[in-house]
Amino acid sequence: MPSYNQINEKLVEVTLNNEEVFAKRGAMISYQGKVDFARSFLGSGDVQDLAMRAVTNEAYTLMVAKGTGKVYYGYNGLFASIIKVSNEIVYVESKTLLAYDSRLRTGTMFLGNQGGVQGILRGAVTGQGLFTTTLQGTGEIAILSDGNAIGLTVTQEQPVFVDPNAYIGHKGSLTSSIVTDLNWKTFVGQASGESYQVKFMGQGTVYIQASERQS
Amino acid sequence: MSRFRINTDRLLEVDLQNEKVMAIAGAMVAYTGSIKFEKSILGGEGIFGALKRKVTNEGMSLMQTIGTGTVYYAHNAAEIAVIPLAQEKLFIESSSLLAYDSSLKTSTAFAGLRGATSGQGLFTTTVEGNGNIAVISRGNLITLEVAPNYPLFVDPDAFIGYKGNVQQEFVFDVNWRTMVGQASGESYQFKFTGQGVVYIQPAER
Repeated sequence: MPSYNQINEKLVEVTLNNEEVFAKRGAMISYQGKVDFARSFLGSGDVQDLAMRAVTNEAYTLMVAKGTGKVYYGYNGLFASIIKVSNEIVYVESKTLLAYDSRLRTGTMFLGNQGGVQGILRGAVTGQGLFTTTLQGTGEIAILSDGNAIGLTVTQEQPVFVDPNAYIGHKGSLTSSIVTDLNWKTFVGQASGESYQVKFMGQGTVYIQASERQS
Repeated sequence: MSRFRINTDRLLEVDLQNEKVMAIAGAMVAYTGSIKFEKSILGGEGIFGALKRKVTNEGMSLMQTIGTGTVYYAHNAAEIAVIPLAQEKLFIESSSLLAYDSSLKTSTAFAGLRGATSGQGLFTTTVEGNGNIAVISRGNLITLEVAPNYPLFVDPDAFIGYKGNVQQEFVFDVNWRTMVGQASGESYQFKFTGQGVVYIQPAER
């Protein structure tokens, strides 16, 4: 089983014992031991998954590291965090995925399947596209964020509201919807800059970053 | 009073109990509970204060956060520090301000001629009263003491703010090398004398 280790806030170490790990292409910083790198087309998905990715704009270029040793991953000075997944589904944007391995199965999720029209609206409004990447199973993944990634716990009693531009992913059984906070000031050009949020309800964790995407 | 907490250097958590906090518009990243966000047109300074801000270029776009719950603020992954004020006056660049208690009073003040050379303008923002203020900096905020016998010199590009009974001066260190284009890159500084605290960041704008 590949093991993930946080070296510092921007660097993740993956230890391989005759195993393989998938990572964002170009994210390898250094390695020790006998490890081979190759372009990977399928990741841990299948041909259908690949075809889905190609058409849904959730495509990412992966490389696979195979062998025995330690591999260090970092990307563009961004913050890296390890998320533990225990028999659940993690939803992340493909751009933020740094590394994962074959213990987890990847897929592409149409946001409309997860919250109906609201889901579609969310993707369209936030500029994050209508599709997102899912990873299912038990294991670990490493994700990237601009500033620390922080996990906020969502419980039945306490929904969490998130700025769409700071959202990076979520796990657990959560449903999401868009909430708007419009008043007369919004329409006279005096918006607070926080006119809509994504509301997460249920049981799970939402991950945000300490920065707001400009796009 | 609302409580300010720093979560992992770059995220500010504020607990509100039917209270009001002012923050830069758009700085909210998440919240729980029942919270409303509204653009604050005058920034609590009245029409005259708002006008003064317009002409002095110390303008800032503020929103007020009202309600009960926890609000999370962040800005471009910059480091955040909380400075508590107890009947004190803090001088700060408006671009370093993230959020503050609505119990604090803000205004603009003439900062002297230093602004003309350092590119920070002739005016600065003052925050006064009792409460918390959160400031953003590139790299962790550094607090330096100024005592009567120990004046402090600061690079204008790293300067963030100061509080206490401190006088600010502009000093030049220009010699023949500067004139022939061999400057050390540190030809002018702020000199602080008196008794107080100066805040700087480990990065130069």
